[in-house]
Amino acid sequence: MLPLALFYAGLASACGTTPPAPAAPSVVAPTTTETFAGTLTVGGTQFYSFSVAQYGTVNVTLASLDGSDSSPLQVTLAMGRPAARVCREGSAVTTAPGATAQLTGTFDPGVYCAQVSDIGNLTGSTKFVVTIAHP
Amino acid sequence: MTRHPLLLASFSTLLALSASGCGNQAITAPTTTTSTTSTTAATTAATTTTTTASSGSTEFFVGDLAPKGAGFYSFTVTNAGTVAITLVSVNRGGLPALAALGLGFGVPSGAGCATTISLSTGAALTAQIATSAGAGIYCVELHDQGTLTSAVSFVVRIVHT
Repeated sequence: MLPLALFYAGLASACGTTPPAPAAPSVVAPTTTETFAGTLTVGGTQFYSFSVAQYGTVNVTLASLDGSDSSPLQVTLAMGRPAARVCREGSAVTTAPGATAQLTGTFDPGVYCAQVSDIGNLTGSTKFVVTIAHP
Repeated sequence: MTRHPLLLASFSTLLALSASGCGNQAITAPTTTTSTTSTTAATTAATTTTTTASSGSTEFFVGDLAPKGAGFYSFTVTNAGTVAITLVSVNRGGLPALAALGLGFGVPSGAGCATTISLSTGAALTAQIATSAGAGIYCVELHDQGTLTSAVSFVVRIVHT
């Protein structure tokens, strides 16, 4: 009788309960900030690669763009994955420089890239600073 | 039925974007601890790489290398395995050139490729670099070591899993 009882007990357990959902991985806050600084030419694009060591939050901020003091200039700020000769965009935003992150998200460990591109607003080579905060 | 490589690539991209999107959650303010500054001056004497071809796990990094120039190419290893990198040809004016170039393998970092393997080599039929790599994004870097007096065109073959 005991094996039969165990069988029914097991069946009841399997059918009557939902297995617990796997625990979501904890999101790690940024621990490192890298500075991507350069000069963007008219119609140009530049990107910068960085490695996320742990699953966590990545914040990308267009911190400054020369010539934006009086009338804010906008460029495209993007984040993606390096592929061949480019940074293949995963998400992008058209933005002026600011103090808070224009792009943010939670990402798995791996290699990513931040990219800045002129969308036709620049009239000459323009210095920029992008900060990338990540775990 | 023939599978179109572009269709497969698009599907892979969709999967990747979908996976990436699923992971997005609320943000936390950054806690800055370290800082690294980089400019993109590395491309001053520029490589003008123009062609990228892909077929399965074989990719070709093709372009022109100017004196003192450098360039890199990123690729994704989807399964752990061997990466074989071959500087297949170096030509000047359509003829083979005997120039030795710097060839490296590493991980995209900053405005370039942070190499973990680097050597000096001319073109050859067998891989100059063969190494094991886990799944992830890697890069091949090519640069003039100071010996070029005029631009050369090059082809690097990358075979990976």
